Amino acid sequence: MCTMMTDFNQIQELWNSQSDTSSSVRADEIIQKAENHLKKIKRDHIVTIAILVVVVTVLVAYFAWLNFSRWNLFTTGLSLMIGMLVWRIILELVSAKRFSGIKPDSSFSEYSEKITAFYTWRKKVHLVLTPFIYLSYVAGFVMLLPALKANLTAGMFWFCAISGSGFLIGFGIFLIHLIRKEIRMLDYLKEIN
Amino acid sequence: MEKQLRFNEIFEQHYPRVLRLCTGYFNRDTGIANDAAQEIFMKVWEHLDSFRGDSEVSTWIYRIAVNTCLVLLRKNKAKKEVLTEKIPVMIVENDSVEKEEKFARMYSCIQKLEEVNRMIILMVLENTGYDEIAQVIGISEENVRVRIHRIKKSLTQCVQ
Repeated sequence: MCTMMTDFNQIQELWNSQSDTSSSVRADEIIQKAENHLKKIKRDHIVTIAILVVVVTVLVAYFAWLNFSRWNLFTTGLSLMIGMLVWRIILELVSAKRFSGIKPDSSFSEYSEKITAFYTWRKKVHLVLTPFIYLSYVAGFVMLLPALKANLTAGMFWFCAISGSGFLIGFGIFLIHLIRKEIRMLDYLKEIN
Repeated sequence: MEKQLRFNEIFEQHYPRVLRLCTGYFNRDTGIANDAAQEIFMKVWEHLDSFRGDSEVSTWIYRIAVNTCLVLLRKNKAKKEVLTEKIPVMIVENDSVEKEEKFARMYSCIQKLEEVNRMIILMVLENTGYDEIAQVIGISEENVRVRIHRIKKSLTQCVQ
């Protein structure tokens, strides 16, 4: 049976008696990791913007070539899908910008307030815009099917239909997982505040 | 180069304290504590240029540490794991079974505190001044004093 700690000084003494928690990490390794992290953020940002620019350019060029005269179900579906993809990317860019505006060296109360506001905003986006974007994307895909059926072989059509549906289901599950994760984070932050 | 020298100096001086703080916060889970400490110092490097010296370097680092640990606790799902799973025991030099029991009890009682109170008491144990804790948490010094009094009382009752 061990002796009791009856006042805080004994806890303090116990704390002080710990040996230094050793770590093999060196300052230059941390710098290297931080630099790689910064480079990755910049690279991802550039790639995202590049995809956005290419998609919009191709879309505009395609419709300019069509001269808007041959607008049909296929082009509506395609533009709906691409348009929703563009919206999704823009939302993520806005989100990343908002998140980077939260300074990690603010006081705890300021930081937790801002990060809670961020996840509250994300929750609104997820519960209102994300389902709209997802359903519009699905609608766009369905609109493509008649044209695909008319122009592709039966095997190729079913391949496109099944793989496309599989992708949409998988993406839907991923979105639900992401939304749940962020809502749990928000609940946790609200609990702390 | 100047930035690197400055960082090295900060690293040497503050890394052990931050690591101890994280180890306490994550209930002696050295894996998560090491990851957290590294992430904190990555942020220190990334934001070093924007540090204007409005506060002590230690206050600035503690702010980053507290905020990073807060988010990491949730991200790693560590909250659940830390509170419910058996915690790996840290090696303590010249320790006896009795001392290890005391350590286990102390850490277990620290874990029972609310997240913010846990951070506050860990800073107290690291001999951080009340004014500095007030700046890190963003509440008045008087409020810190009252909170610390309550936390100390509750911690002492718990470890008995």
